[in-house]
Amino acid sequence: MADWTDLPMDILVVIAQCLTVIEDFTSFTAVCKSWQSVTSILKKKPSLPTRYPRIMLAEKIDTEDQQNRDDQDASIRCFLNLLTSKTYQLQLPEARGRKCTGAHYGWLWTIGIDLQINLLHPFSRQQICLPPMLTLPDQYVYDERFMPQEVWGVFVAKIVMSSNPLKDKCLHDYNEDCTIVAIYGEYAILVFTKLGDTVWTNISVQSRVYQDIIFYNGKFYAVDVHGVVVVCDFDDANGPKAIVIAPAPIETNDTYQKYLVESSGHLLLVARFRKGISLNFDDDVDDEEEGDDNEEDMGDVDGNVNVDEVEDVKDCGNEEEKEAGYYTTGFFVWRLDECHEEGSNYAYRLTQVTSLGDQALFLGSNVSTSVASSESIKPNCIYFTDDNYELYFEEPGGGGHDTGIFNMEDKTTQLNYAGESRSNISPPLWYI
Amino acid sequence: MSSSEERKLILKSSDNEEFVVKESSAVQCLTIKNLVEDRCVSDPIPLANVDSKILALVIEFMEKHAETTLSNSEKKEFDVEFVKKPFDDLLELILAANYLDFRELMDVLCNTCAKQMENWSVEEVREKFNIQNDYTVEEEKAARAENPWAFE
Repeated sequence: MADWTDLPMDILVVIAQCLTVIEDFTSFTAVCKSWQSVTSILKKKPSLPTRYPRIMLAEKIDTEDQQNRDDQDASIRCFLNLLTSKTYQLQLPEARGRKCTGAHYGWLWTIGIDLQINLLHPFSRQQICLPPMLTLPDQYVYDERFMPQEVWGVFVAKIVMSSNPLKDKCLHDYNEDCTIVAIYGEYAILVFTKLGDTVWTNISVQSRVYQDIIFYNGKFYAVDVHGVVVVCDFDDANGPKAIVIAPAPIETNDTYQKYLVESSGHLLLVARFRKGISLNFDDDVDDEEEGDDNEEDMGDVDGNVNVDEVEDVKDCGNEEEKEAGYYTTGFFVWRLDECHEEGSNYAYRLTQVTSLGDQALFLGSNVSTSVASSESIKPNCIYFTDDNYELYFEEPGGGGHDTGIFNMEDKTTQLNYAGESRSNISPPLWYI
Repeated sequence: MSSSEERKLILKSSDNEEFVVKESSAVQCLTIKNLVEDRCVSDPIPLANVDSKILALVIEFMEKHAETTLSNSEKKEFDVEFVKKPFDDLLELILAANYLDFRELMDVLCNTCAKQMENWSVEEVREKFNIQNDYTVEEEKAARAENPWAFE
């Protein structure tokens, strides 16, 4: 009678290549020695997605002892498991000193002082080069404050791909159909490239300050700071352009950060509201200051039920949080539904959503993602990290404090991990 | 006319049972295809490594996938049902598919194995695949350190 350990190595390799997530692959190789030897045949670990979201903590930089720190240790990045709170360490010198942001399918994208933009897979340590920062069409007008070497940490805000950049999980063949859209530049506009291209190309937009992009049902959608949602059309004869599909929701304003995410088959628009001294949002702010316009807008919102809820959330925050320059106090969620009304200017309308069902949203310096609830993921919650990158430098130790789990039902927020992990460049993010 | 006649082959299992199959179906197995192209076909073709039970299943799969009237999704539906077999049968089928160099069957079976392993812990994989852990305590420790995602 044959035994599974009798399987010839080439069959084991085929089975290993059918695995679809990192967790299954590492379990596979840990079963016994003959199964482990598959990794030496594959030469490289596969660049697979991960099944469960994890937090990729910030780089540990011992500012006092930079000269003497061991090079090895400095390259270690920790990944935190939400359920067990255990951290796992991976050697990742490719991420050292660079801003890392989630790119989905198990990939990160990084940018550093060398102005190179790379996709990086932390498990396989495979890197794919994207066109560098200087090939983005609209650069800052060069002056001392805005030299590329000064602004790389804020110049590219988000990158989203239409698919896994690899055709086959193990074979490292690039998927030439993979389109990549990004938000960049002084005005946070949209740009795209394809794997293998050498430059980025602008997408024609009528607005500015885009805040999120998502690939949904075969197309790229983006949302701007006002909350207006656009779809990207790559087939127009005059070049790629963004077309408005939904108006901004009335319950929000420009000060709330916007996200787009697919959940349970629908496209959702999420608004994140923050308070704090850095945002001139505090009630104590003098009316004559810059925050005046914002105060008025807040007045409009005051008419709604939500203000009481916002106040409640603020009271639940801990003392340290209130001292911070900014902290998140809540979220609004809308669903985009196709609009079939006669005479409507828009292809979609927004309906406010009060429950996410069994899903949880993961928002922050990552591709906005919805995940089904499980042992380690609570339903109807929004898991958020600190992505207020323009204000990281104003926080002691850097950004990273504005993170937690928001409960959609009772509107409370709790911490998602104990301890502190801060950075001016790359605070903790969701690795999904 | 001979061209409209389906050429047939006879395959003989390790336990001496004979199966008649269409040549057009059988050449999905590269081992058999090579024999046909090299004109080395004996009558019957002995398959020393495949018993009758497994060979019957291989032929069932082979003939289904050779049917030109079936769509890809219909074939996929068949595959889903086909692989609902006891684990040990799957192992025998994999070994047979490997011996016969039957790529399509191999891919379906390997994908099935990979799917079975979804969400299993290392211990569960060992148990269900009936595999002995041949790591020493030290080696297991090193494996855990190297593969931090495996032991959650």
